[in-house]
Amino acid sequence: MIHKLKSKGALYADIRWVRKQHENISVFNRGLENLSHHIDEGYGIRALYNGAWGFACGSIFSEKEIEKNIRLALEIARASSVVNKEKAIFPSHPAAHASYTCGYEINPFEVSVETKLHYLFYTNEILLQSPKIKFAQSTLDFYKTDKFFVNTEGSEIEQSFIESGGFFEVAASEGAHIQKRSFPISHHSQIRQAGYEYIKELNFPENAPRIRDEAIILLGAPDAPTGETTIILDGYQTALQVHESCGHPVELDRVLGAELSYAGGSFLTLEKYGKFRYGSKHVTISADATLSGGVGSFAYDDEGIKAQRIELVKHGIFSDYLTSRETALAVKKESNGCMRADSWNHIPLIRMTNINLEPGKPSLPELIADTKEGLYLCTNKSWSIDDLRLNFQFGTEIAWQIKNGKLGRAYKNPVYASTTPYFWNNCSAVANKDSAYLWGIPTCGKGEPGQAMHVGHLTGPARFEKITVGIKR
Amino acid sequence: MITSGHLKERLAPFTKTKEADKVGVVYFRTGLQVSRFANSAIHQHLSDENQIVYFRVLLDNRMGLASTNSLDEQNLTETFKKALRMARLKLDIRENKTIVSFKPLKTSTGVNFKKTTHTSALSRAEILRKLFTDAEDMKVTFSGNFYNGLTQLAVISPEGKMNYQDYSFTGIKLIAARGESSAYASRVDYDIEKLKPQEIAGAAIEKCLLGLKKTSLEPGCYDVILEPAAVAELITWLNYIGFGAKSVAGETSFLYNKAGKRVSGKRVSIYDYGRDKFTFILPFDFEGVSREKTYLIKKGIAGQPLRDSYYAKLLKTKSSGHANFPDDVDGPLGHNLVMEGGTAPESQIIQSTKKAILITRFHYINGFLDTPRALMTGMTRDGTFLIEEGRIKCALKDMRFTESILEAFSRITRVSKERKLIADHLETLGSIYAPSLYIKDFTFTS
Repeated sequence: MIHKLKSKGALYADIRWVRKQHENISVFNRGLENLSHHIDEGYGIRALYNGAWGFACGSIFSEKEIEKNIRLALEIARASSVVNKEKAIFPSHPAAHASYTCGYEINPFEVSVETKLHYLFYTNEILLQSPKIKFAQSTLDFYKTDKFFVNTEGSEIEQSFIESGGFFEVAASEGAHIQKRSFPISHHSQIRQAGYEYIKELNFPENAPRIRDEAIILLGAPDAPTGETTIILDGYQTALQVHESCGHPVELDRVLGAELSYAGGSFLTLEKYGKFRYGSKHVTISADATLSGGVGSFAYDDEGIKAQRIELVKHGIFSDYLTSRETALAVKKESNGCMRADSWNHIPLIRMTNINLEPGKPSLPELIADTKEGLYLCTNKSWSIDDLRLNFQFGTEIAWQIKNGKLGRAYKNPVYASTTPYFWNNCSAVANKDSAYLWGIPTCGKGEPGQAMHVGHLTGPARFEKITVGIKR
Repeated sequence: MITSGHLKERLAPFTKTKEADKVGVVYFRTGLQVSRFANSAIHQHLSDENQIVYFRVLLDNRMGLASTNSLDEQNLTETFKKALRMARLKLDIRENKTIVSFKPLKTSTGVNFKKTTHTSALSRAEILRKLFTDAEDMKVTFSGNFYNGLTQLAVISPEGKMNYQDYSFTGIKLIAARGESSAYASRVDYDIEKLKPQEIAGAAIEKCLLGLKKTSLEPGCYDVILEPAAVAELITWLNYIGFGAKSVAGETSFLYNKAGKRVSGKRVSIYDYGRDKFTFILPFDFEGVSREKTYLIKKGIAGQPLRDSYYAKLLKTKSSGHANFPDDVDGPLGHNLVMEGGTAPESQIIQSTKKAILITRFHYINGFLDTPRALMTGMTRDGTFLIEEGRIKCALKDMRFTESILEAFSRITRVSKERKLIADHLETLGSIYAPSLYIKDFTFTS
């Protein structure tokens, strides 16, 4: 079929077949809320024709249907060329031939549903062991994705990924007050490229009593203080901070305006490339698509470019963008392989891979011991950032007082706000690699139609000075 | 597009099986054609279609659920068998799930426009070329999207009866930009003839040119005029954190324990109604149950949350017809939300304003800060202006609000007579019909 696209005049074309399986099991307040298994399969055709792009897709695999969609992709590209004054330039790339399967020990789709349910119900039972707990949810998610990519340059790439993960959350209430705690992350499952062995590693039952008790403690805790102080973010909140204030603004398509109609642009404009002081000397942020276990890892991206590790911020200096073959020309470079689509019916976009904050020297206890006064903020609760990725306000589920190098009482409803360069320039330390954890977020949104991508972050706790905390009406 | 007759023929036989106590089927399909553009050039141009078939199988009070995106006979049979296998699992757990029987509803007509579904990429491109060329004279560029498509929903009961609805949809979203100024305008409709892209472009350009010079305002409390897009974003979050029965059952909702009690101001009435003609209709939910008109807040008084059969049982009441997708864990949500209008013409609200901030839309609202209070934060975006003595005085740099929305809604002093349909078919299912609001003392924190 790819040859047909070429014979019909496409300058470049690729076809991507994807088959995705997703199993979700969710237990809410001692009841089975969801036990579902979904299979989604189809192909997407992307064609560069007459200097413009077109994309069509289908889930019926007859020759007639595929030919219809090839014609449609070319027709759409032709329509784009009616509008566009400048022709798209797409640099050629040598053909790649590869077959890749991510590593795992236990295929989660071969583990019995009974085993998974026992794990979730047992966790739910622990969470509900107090009359103050009104909301307890425990969830597992498993994904299997098989992809086959061919393009007019002769590439043929087969990739297969297994991802496993889960989370639980609990809410304690008293009167009109309610406080939530989650583990290991909030709002959705924490996922890894791994098998069922990762679910065992997450060990919900061992962590459930602590998280439940913290939710109850928060009911009697005072509101987090307001003012300016030192904050230490836990590894997950650091991941969210990296995600929103570095991962998104370094997407070069965003910088060039491709996302203006949705989540906006980026303050990291082209003239800042390679010289802007983004953060303090402690801040080195990398994008690593080769990281074992990361859900942003792969062998080749959806344009046939090999997975890479690059440094986005080097000792505080903004040094690189996440790029595609087309956008990389804007910085006179070759693609660093970040184009991914979340399914067969969506076009690839520049997406984060695994965006990591490189570790520093102190352990977390040393970091706390080295802090005279401040707050230790744990587990993201809310996030909001402006359309240039500058002005942000984040909230966490819990804050722990730090006084004279020791953790003290818990505070509820902590919030901190800042602007991106100020915040990262006030980073005074990053915890060591033993304190870092590989987070996996399955819901990174981008594009119209919306795409939810799986992205990873290897981050540990980090400390920031003179940060405004506790803003609320 | 597959016809309703064809769907029934293909899917209803599965309900006749003797291997299960009950079988229900849900079919959902969206076909979309999208021209997405930035800096007045199309950069993403695509046809996107997908469908999903869910089989729900009930056996000895155990529910099995499996889904596929293929209508191929073999795939359907395999998926059905998977659901059956899941229902056969011997599990000692509480489930309380059922497959609802229903009387078929008459399919609503007059909402599927052939011209809308058949508009080609080339037709959209030609309209956009004209908009881009016209804007060039004013040194304005456009980013945004222009789309058209069709949604189909069918639910088949255990008795083999089918509820079916389809509707066409189209939308244009424009962000006009010049220098540091950007302005948003959009319109959605069932019928592409009513979209009038030129009008939307004119509105976006006009606002953009008013915003060329921007002033900063100090954080603090200011009166605000929220246009319908901004109001709809707040309602979207109210829906997500508090209108559904799951958040009430889990006591995280602002409606929990509040039925019949005051939760906001007298000018606030919000309901969900699947057959509301001003929204994109969804007459029945994903269990096939008629979406009943359900007041969430009426004149500031809390109503009942939106329910499906599962949460209705938990809350000892009836389903209101708001079941979500069968595998969705957010629980019941509103898809046809309407905020009742007031008496003030929109133009008069501005003309009678002494000093207020006019907000076109918000960006990146987050409502998880304190859900029982509906405390939210977010930024203004693409058209924020200072109004003084009934006129736009100047454009403002974007600001962050942090505010309990129910408390803010209790300070509404004027609600516009005119309302606008807000939807984003590229992001979510569902639509909101909202007025403009004048709110006193809205809190900006940075």
